[in-house]
Amino acid sequence: MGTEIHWLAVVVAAASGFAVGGLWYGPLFLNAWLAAEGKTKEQMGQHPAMVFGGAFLCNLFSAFILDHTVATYGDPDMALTVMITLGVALGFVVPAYGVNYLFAGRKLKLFLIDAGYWVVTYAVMGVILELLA
Amino acid sequence: MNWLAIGLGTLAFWLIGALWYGMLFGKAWQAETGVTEAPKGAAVARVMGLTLLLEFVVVLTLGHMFAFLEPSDRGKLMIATGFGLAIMTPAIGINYLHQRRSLKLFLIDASHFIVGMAAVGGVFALLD
Repeated sequence: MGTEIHWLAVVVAAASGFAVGGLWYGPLFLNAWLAAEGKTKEQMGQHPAMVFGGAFLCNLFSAFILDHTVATYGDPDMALTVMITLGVALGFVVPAYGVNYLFAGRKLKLFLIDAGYWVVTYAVMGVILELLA
Repeated sequence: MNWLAIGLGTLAFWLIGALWYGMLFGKAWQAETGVTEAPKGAAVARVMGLTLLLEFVVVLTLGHMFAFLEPSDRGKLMIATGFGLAIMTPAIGINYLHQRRSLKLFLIDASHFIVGMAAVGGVFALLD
């Protein structure tokens, strides 16, 4: 796509989405998230392989495009790289969630937990892309 | 920054949403989400106003990016659609997987963003 693809950085960045997710939807906000969703832990059941596999593919696709986006800005330093990835999260992902959650009448708290996850994940991806690319 | 393109791009995104969740997939979406009542009174202004504001943020970010990168018209269309396809769609995809929402709901919501972003890219390609 006109820029060099940094595969190692892309794969590690995609995996970091899981690491942040494990913390975010685990020790940090699992109970708040379940309450906002109106579900219990038992209702959610075990995560089948398809959920995790699908989530990894989604993360991989996003990390790949994020790497490409950062590369179109030349060779930005750490501060600019994180600003770009945070800008993508705040400028594209968070508003997309907002629109969806507004339409569906979901709770503000659920929006904050889910949108917050992406802001943190994209910041971490930015750091990884800069370190490994 | 091209404010005319940003304003019209926001409007185009919003109109795609009205079409998507109204005429085109309103019924299917209601069946999937269980939301059957349309907002009334002040809630209409709140939902519509905030939607417009959020879409403005998206289009503003894109406008900022275009002002910096100065892509070709084809590039603008591809970048905008690319963010819909590769950033917004996977982000909601992961969430829907974890929340066990249906594939049908995912397809309706994801296609709204892809087509909406393509429309925004088209506005920039024409006006910017």
